[in-house]
Amino acid sequence: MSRVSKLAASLKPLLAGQPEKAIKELRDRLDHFDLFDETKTEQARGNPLYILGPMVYVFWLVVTVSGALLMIYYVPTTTDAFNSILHIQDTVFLGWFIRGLHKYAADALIIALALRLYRMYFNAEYKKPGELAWIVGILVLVMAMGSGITGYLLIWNQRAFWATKVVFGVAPTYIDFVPLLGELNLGKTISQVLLGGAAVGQATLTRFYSVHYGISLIGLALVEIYFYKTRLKRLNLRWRSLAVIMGLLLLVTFIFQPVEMGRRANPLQTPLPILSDWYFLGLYQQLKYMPPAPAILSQGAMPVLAMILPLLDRRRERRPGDRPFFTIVGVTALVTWIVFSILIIANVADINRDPPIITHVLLAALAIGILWERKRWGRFVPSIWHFMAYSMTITFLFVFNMTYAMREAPVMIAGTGFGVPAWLVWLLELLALAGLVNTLFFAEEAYARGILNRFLPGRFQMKKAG
Amino acid sequence: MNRRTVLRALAALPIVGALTAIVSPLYRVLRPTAGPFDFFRPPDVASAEAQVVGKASDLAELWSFTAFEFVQKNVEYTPQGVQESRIPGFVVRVTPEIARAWGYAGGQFIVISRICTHLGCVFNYVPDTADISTGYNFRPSTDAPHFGCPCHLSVYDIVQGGKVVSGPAPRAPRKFEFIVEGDDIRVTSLEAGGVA
Repeated sequence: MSRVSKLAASLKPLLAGQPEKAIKELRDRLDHFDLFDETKTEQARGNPLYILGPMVYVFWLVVTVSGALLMIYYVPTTTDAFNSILHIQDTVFLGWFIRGLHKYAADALIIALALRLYRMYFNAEYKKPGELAWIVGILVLVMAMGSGITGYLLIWNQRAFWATKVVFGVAPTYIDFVPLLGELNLGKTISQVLLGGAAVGQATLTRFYSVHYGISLIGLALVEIYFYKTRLKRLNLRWRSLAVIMGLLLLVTFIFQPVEMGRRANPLQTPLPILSDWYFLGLYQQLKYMPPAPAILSQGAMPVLAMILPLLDRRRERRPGDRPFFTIVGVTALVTWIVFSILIIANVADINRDPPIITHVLLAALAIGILWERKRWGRFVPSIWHFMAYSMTITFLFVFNMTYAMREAPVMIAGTGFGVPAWLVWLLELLALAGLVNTLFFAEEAYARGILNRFLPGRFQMKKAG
Repeated sequence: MNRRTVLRALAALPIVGALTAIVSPLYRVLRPTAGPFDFFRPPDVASAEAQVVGKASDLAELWSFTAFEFVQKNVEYTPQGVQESRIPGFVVRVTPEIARAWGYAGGQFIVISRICTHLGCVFNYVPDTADISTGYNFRPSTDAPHFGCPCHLSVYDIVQGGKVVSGPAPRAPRKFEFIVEGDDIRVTSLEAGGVA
């Protein structure tokens, strides 16, 4: 039975009007639901990675309490917001400390959430019956990032003002560039609802203030209901670990003072480069490289793709070495994000030079994943889902690469003032791409058949089968 | 289909109806300018009074230009209801053919918004093509000036009506509507849909 028909079979009870079976499946997932690793008491004993869940909860509480204290002195108006932060930082007793705690605990919260998701990814904790925990984990990260960007604007400094303009004022309007969808004015409407008007202003500040606090508070209320219902222990954490975590947080807060303020927002002066909070920088770099419509669609697709991961990777294996393709995809995603973030901080983005290089590197990584998969399982493409993931990624990369090459502009050879026609660059790239992938496959084939044995030292030689 | 299915479907109707009834008021809380069930209302438009942005006599030579800021009132969902914003723009002296390429009826000028259609930076007027080659990563085929955005190096060709010839910008810059009254270049409105 193929994977597609298996999937269809699992949907059958629902389609055939047997909701009881579907509910039973769902209940099974709910029984294995896990928010802060509170059910993973066994693993937590031997593996320090399982304190990431409790850390999320601790930092969440710290951020909420310090945020409530900051609200005492914060003034949410465009004219006074920046001044009130200065006041908190310089005059209010311990204001600098509370603000530092709020900022660094929020950063730590994002780091813990992201690392926990990576742990779940590489340990395949998203597989049955952990799907629901994985999906909720991603939603929580998205909401935390939302709370982050709304909180960022409250300072009303240059960086926050322009980041908000890009993310909420400009990015949604890219939806209007998509054919047919554009007729609905959807992007502009979303932007106006988010900003509370046509431009970033007082209404935006008020809205963001509400969302910033609302996300944390409503989230915590839901968490409490969950713990009340399940009677699970909230913190699967020893006191010693908790003391170390809090100690580190306090240390960071004391060392990295004062927390960055930036300059007062000025709607008439664009800062160069436009930057955002650190965890958005990788996405910003991608926005620079890609044309608007694919950029916004692919960024919207990222959390969705991550959430349907349990559907894509349906094999039973859980060890990273036993599912090489997905291990490589995960490593590639992590490395790409870090490299993009570094590139944008260094302000390196040559839209004519970089996308082809990135495409080739990513393709090479995927090719390695497929070769490793073959090494491990003796098959080229292990399943239709791998094939789908692979072809989707390649399509995405081609868009990434091609849209710039397709422009009529000649591609400049750096520093010389000479240009090469775009079609020629595109052709060369296609050849290089095909060459690269084929060379890798050829090398693997040659190795597998023992052709390379005479060139290799003894322990690397391919053994004859049987 | 048996009797039970029909009854179940009928029981679901009020639930669907209630959900629909909740969505519209919720939407109107977020967007007070919308009416009941008015989901596909076009975006709120900015209003502005006509403003003189330059003197025709100062721009006698071809390719001479001047920068200005156009004040417009944007809808904002606050007690005031509006927010004043300043849109930077350029007036450039061009030939009637170029003005027609930009979609004007003719005349000697183009008046455009300086807000880049990519991410909302403010772009520059670059008269020297050598500067475009070295600074904006694009080699123009003509000697005519271009608009270039310093943020992500989008280049707009003025001769071709603002066509994006390099970089990530998705479309040409937005235009102002204007009239020339004696010596005054008077802007009446800005093309809708841009970022304020």
